[in-house]
Amino acid sequence: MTTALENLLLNDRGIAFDPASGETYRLVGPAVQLVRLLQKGADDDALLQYLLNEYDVDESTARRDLDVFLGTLEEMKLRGTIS
Amino acid sequence: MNAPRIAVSGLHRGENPQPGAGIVRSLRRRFPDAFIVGLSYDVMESGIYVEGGPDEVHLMPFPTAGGAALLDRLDAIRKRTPFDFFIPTLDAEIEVFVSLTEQLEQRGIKTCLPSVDVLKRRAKQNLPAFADKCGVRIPETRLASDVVNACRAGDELGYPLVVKGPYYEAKIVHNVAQLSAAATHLLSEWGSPLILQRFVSGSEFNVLGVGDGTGNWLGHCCLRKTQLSDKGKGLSGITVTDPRLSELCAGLIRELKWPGPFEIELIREELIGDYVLVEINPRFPAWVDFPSMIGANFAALLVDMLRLDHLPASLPACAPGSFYIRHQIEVVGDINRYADLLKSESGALAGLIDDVTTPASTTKVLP
Repeated sequence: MTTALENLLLNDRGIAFDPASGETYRLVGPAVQLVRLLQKGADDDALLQYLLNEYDVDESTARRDLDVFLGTLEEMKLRGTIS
Repeated sequence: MNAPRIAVSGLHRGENPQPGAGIVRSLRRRFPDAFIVGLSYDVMESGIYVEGGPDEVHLMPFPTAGGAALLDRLDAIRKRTPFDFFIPTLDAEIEVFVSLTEQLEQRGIKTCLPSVDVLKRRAKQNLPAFADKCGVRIPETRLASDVVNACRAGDELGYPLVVKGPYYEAKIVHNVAQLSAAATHLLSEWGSPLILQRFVSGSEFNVLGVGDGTGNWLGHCCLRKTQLSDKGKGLSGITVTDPRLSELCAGLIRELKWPGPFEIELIREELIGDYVLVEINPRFPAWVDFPSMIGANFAALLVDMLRLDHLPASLPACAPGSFYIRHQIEVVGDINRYADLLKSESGALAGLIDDVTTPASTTKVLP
């Protein structure tokens, strides 16, 4: 079993393509690296740590933005398990 | 081996493109020396005039003229312009030619067509029973032979719904008035039965392939339509790889033991993400030339099947992420060639092409 997120084809210019559904996504700013980390199996804490290390942002703001980002992935059914 | 001599029909492109012009392009890529004979139903089919198009073009009587008329015309054409292989591309003519496979074979014309029974099993009006046998979902469907029954079926299914003719055209209708108008038009244009289906919301997927006639295929290409025209035709599409989609389609081809080209149309239902079967077409789609540009030449594969004494090697898989965009251009016709084509065929087609009078005429074109 894999997830749609794991299967996403991602290029350096922030374009992600789901090879099964044919959907194309444009990722902006830190989203590219966050998706790459998720594809490598990173958990939410690791993602938060990445944002704190790489961006000039306080923890509560980073946590809020990360929640919004992860919520968007779920809305797009990219984090759900597929067969 | 000599350069193949191949006849192809359905050369019109434009708003509602036929597959033939794409097939000719694919064949030119693989067989640059091939002699290609265009079989047209109208002198205004754009593919007649395109650069790199058929080497010769001959007019055919409409399929409604019947099998004997089509065979007579093929005989007359082959006396002047011999060919060995024939790729029919239009649903209405395929229905006639499948009943003529023996006669075509006797004449030495090689085709790859299903039997009458196999063709019928996947027909729109028989799709519910076939899909049920294969365990594949289709939209809830009703058949109707007249407008009154169509409206009754519409009440049962609810709106919006899709209403289709037995061969061509599908319209989405939102109320009984629209259904009545669409049903009247489709019945007059394509005859009975009307096929009414519950509207399924989701992305459209098409699968193109060539079956080997034993239940396997020699290649397939899965595509998601990304832009649709007003008529629901794919203006652009992107290749996808989904094992669920491939397995579903492989099961249909296995059950039919389908020989030759096919296109399977499905919708991935928005709410649950499952595929719903919409149609199985007994021919190449208009986008057949797209995979030939990314390493999978299905038209050439079909010709290899017909000319070799063994099955050719399977085509490579189409990698996901390649896309096509339909690009319309103008092609130049010459009034003298137009006149020559009409003149040379007028004896054989007397009475069948009376409505073709000027290049601006809007004669009926089979999609």
